[in-house]
Amino acid sequence: MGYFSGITALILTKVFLTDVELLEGLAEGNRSAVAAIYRSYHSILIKWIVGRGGSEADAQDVFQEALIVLYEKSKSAEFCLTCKLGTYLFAICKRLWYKKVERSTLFSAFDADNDEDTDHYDEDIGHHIEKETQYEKLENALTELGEPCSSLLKAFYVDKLSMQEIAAVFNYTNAENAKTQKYKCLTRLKKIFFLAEVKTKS
Amino acid sequence: MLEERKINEWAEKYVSGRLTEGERIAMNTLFEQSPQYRPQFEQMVELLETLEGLSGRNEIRDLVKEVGRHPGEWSSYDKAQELTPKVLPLRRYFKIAGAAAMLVLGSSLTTFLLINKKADKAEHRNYTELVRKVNTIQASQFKIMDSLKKVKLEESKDIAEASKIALYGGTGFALTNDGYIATNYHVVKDANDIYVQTADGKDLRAYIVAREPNADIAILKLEDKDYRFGKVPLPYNIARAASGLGQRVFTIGYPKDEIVYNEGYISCERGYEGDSLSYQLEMTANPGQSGSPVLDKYGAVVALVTGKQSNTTGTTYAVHSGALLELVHSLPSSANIRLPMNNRLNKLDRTEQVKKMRTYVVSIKVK
Repeated sequence: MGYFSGITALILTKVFLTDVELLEGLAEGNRSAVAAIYRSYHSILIKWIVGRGGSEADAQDVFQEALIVLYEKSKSAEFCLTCKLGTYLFAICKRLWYKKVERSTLFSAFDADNDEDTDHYDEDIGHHIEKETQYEKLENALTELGEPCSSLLKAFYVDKLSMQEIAAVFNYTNAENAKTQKYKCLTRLKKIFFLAEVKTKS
Repeated sequence: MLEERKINEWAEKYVSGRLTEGERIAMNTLFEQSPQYRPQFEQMVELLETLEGLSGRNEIRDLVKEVGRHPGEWSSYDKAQELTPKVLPLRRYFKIAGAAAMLVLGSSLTTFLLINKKADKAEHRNYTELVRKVNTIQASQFKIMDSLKKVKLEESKDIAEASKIALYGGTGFALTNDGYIATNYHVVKDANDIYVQTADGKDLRAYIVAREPNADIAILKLEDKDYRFGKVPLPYNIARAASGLGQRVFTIGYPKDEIVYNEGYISCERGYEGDSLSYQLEMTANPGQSGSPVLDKYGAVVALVTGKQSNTTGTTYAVHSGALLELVHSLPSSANIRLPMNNRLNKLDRTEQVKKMRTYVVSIKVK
């Protein structure tokens, strides 16, 4: 039987998916779609970054970050790919890499960007960074919130447990009690989250 | 406090899209009466959306890292291909064991076909896909291997499961001389194994490279890298532009084990129920001709046969070659499909045209 699975795997790994299928797969968190993107674009993009003085680990980070940018794009409703997936990924990787270099050397020697569609990619990366800072802020707020609130909210919103399950895990007498507790936590989280925003603004 | 809780609930429902019309109205009246609640609601929505996004983002981040840590899943094929020679010695064993399995398979197949025939009658559709069921099974190593596996599974399962063993046939034609083939998606969609029978009688394994269910097109590739359909590059090209009404067309395909020629004309620029991706042709087509190339008088492929109207004879539908080109162009460049650019059929008469291109048209068998 081992040989059968060997054969099927061999066939499966050879299948090419179209760009649209890849994007849909990525949006759904489909593992084989992610593997297919790696297969098509990983080595070439890593080579590109390493060729420009990056370390293997840096290159890996940039590539994975670019996939997250692509994921966020694929999730948004109005998104439709106007160029080849490879072109898009390359442009994003390139920009992320330049940003990384700028940050470490503290001066921008890289204005040598001769693409026509620059704004469009920069906008995507801007969105991405904005989102990342927001997620970071939320994670900080969750830490500040303390236990058991932070675990309770994570259990409900991240792990998607039901109220009954949460009541059982956190030792509440019933689901209704857990729900009340969750709302209290949420209200507190909101205060911390938006207070942090005011702080950063001022 | 009570309002606050209500606002939380509304925000939660709003984010998950479960807010009812009644709640929306109640919410708006509250906001009109006391506008100080509105920012509270908006903040809550923002917070919930961020929470939602965070969980999705973390999942995909983990997945991306996880895949990155397992290069075996996506790095070069070389490793995987090294494994294939090891499979060979085992085939000898399956050849013998397979013969016994074929007997069992044969009987269950007949039962299935009988039952399936009845089921087909109940379905009143005007559109028939031209896939041919093949009764005769050619014993090939892989088929035997697969049937062995199947029979073991099938013994306990009911007849409905047996549909997987049924053999279907269609037609395909070469896109490149080195093994890319175009056919219909419905020919290969449920395939466990795909075999391509070439004009010189060889049975070759193929796999699906790309598919476009909407246009009903699939692209296959022969596993044998060294096989060439002909000694010269493809004699026909694939038309980019749409063909006009009244264009004379012909097709060759495999409704039976021998190649068959048919001719006709484009009778409507739209296909079944106004489908803008396909043509309606006035031409006879039989089951098994799904995926046959439709060529104009100059020998350019203008369409692929997909189906026919069930209640009449002679009305055939064929999908535009443009949809095929689109699918080819969406593939990564590593697929390396170089489409035929030159047409060497345009000045020949029909018999010469058919003679020149028949080795590039193949029969496709699927199970």
